[in-house]
Amino acid sequence: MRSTRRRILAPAVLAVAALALAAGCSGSDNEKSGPVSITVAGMPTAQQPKQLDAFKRKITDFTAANPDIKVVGDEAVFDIRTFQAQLAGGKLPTVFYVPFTEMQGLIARKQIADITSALPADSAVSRINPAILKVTKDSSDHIYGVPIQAYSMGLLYNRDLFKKAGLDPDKPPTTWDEVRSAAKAIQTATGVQGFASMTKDNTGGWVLTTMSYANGSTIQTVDGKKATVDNDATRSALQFYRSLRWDDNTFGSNFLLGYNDAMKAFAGGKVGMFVQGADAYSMVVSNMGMKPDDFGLAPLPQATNGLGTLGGGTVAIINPRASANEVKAAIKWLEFDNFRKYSSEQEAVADAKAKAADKQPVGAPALPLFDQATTDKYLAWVKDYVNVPRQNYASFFATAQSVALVPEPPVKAQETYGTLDTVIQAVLTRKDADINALLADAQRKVQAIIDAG
Amino acid sequence: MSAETERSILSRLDRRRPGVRVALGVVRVLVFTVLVVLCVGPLFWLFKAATSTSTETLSAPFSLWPSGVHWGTFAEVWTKVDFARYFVNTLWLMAGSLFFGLLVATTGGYGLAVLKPRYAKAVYAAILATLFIPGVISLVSLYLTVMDVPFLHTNLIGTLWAVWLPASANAVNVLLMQRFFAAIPGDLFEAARIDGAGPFRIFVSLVLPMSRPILGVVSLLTLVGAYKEFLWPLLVLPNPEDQPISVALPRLETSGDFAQFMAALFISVIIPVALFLVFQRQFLRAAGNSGALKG
Amino acid sequence: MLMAFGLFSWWPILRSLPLSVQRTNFLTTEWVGLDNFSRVLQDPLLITASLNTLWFAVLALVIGFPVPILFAVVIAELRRTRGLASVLVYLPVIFPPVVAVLLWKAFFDPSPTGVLNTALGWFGLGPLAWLNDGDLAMPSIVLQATWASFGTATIIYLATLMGVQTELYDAAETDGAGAFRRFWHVTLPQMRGVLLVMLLLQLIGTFQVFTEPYIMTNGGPENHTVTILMLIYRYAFVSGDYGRATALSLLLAAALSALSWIYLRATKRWSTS
Repeated sequence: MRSTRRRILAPAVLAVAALALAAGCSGSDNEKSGPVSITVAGMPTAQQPKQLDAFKRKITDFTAANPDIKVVGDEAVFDIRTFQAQLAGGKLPTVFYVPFTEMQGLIARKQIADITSALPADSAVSRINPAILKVTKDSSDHIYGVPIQAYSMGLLYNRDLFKKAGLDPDKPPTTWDEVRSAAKAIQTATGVQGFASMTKDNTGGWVLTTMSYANGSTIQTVDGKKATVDNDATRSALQFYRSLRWDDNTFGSNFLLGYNDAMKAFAGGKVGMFVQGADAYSMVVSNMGMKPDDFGLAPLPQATNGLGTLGGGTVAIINPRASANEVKAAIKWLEFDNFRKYSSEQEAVADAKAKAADKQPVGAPALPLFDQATTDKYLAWVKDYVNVPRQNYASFFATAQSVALVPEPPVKAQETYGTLDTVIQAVLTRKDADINALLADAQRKVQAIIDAG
Repeated sequence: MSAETERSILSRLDRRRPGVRVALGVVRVLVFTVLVVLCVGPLFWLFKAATSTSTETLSAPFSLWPSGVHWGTFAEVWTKVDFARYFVNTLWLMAGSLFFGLLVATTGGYGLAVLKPRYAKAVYAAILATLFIPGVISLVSLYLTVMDVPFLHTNLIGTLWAVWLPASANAVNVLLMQRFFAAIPGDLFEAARIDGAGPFRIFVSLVLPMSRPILGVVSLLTLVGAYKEFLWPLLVLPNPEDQPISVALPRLETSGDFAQFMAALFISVIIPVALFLVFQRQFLRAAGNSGALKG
Repeated sequence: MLMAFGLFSWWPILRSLPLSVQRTNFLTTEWVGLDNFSRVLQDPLLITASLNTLWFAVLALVIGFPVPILFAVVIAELRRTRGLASVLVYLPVIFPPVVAVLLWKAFFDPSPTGVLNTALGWFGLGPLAWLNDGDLAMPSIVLQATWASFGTATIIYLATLMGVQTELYDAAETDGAGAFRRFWHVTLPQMRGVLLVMLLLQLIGTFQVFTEPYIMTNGGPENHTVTILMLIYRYAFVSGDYGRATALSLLLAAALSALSWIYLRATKRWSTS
């Protein structure tokens, strides 16, 4: 009986053994020297054929210059709801991109690789604005990632709707009262909702934090030990929301909006204004098809005691399981992908030319990673290829240097944002929401999140 | 059972009475109206939304094709949104789940019902027990197990194995098989054994051919289950390129055009619906069967 | 077979036990005793999520339990058109859950030109905010969930009804019992076994609801649709706190087992008395 049993099980055992082999093969061989293969995130999907072509061409160029490195594109993108699973599963590509807010937690939990020693001495990373580079460092100045992009929050508006509502698209609102009356004007003239806010997947808290900065308060102390959510600046931001939602009815009807939902609504001309990262141009115009001339960007309106605007960005991290060779190759790729255009005119022009040919934006508004001189030099090199109506953002560029940049909350920013999402959803879905009670409650919860360590 | 001999709450006598007949007619019309609106309505609306422009659907959801039927949307979904790839992923996922599901269910059922080694009772009890332990208990630990499979020490995350293998350990299927195999008359095994057939040959050439109906039921349950699964593939297939339709759709919702998204939904639903209409008897029997087991 | 169950069914269940008293990030693992449990119980969201889940279960039973019985009994009377009716009833079940949820999410468009709001407008009602209204969000989700699942239960009941002993109907009829009394005194008692099991299964199912709120609201507005399973998901896969997630899983599983046990004991007494 027993022997027959074994025979019956044989197919199952074989199958399992086969899968073990197959799975074993798919794992990369980390310790090989010589040719090395890396996977890099951020490959555009087939929904964006132009970007995909550009991405593939970049890989070809890179491989031509570095024949012993094989680069494989990967569509993985950061999603707060699945990121930890990806990380824990060890299935992150060699190069992956995360928001600034994730870095300190990742470093503290030792979940990403220390790349300090792998950075070449002449690396462009060393010239990155120290204030920005700081987010990728631990307390002893070790570097765990490469910032590749930075943004500041601004007020996005639809220039076409402004015109239709009799507003001057070149004079966007500069105070929150002006935002409110512009929202009313747009709603009355066009029937399109004047203002919107993201509310879901932590984006609501991200925007509310930004508005709190503009109104004069942070939501955590600088050392990240105390929550300061219950403050007058946040209160007036929420009161602003309430007025637009319940008094003016210029806030639309859907209050469960994530990042993409809001971007899509804005690109489709269904929203007059909303607070968003000022680097949204490429996504809204190139990916979602908004007309370049309809895209408006203004500096974030500041109250008299406003602190400035929230600044954040994207960091490239390297899979902690990558071998030393893979880390080196990954850094080479990152420099090639992001920084070479800032170091030589020839590279800058070639890059801009290719982008313009693909109808990709050149000169889109963003927060300079390097000092102003480097940025200006780059813009001078590529000025013939700029295809973005930069004159439309004159007011934004004019204040770029004067409006202070305030970093995101230092501790557990995403969880803090998540708590604030609830507060915003309450104010927007309940007419009788008690702002004071909501803030007091959020204050307790954020403090508990901080204390949980 | 023919309609002549059976009866239900109402008897044949009842049915001859004019009052009852009228009432029954009214009920019939009512029930079908409700069912059509409730069950066919959404499908029809989905088709309409898929073949209208986004603006039309969003501004007047019940207007019927004011600017004609836009068939092109389906082609766009297939090529531009790359739906074809998610579709192929789904097929692979289903095929593998079917293979491993049947493999485990048949060998398991055979072992428990026919070979009956000494420890069969314990195994049977352990399998039965998993039915009563809520699946939620092992969501997290199963994830960790798949990340680092004991003894083999491989990471299955990001591969279809991570979906196939856990799905194959399905207690309901094993028990269905076991029950069916146990009902095969023992004489047949005896006869085969006298003819010199070993357990494996008995399994392949006697048991399997006899169990076509139950194999059909188990296959159907497995395929439908694999097509419907959402949370697990979402967890273990983090890379968009590997994901099946069910995981890709929520992402398409926010990234693409509304009409295209509706068309993607329609394609995802029309395939199972078409199969259902063709194999409706098998589907409904499988549904009743799973109920019988639960009961 | 043994390997499949051993590795992917039994092992994870056993593994849950030590995991619930550990804190791990896969590089280092420390034993933290009951710390995970106490952190679960201290989370203010736990009460919200439990109440939400209970509320979902109650709504799902109130709406979702009687509807299939009604449909099954009526369809059973239809005779010749019964086959067609069964096909129609089962159609929503054929919708993959994600498709059904996303479709209904589109139906729930809160603007006056949303699908359901337009339909309500025909009767001079609405527009409602559906998922955007804290009080209406959970009932909306239940509406969708009921739509998606009532076909299964109907078909199972229908199969049971086909097996009802018809002689009893004859006897009841001879006693002069009308259609409703025949249903009440003959049909229902014979369906009791199936009804009781289905009720329990539905209950256990509703306690593990995830996909619907995850896709439709991700817990909003104002945490009105956060469920326990969603909390487990967030602990584990958003915060990377696997120990805490497992602790909550065990608590939920224990609660469900207790529920089943009490339920089975209670109904056993009831059905033998």
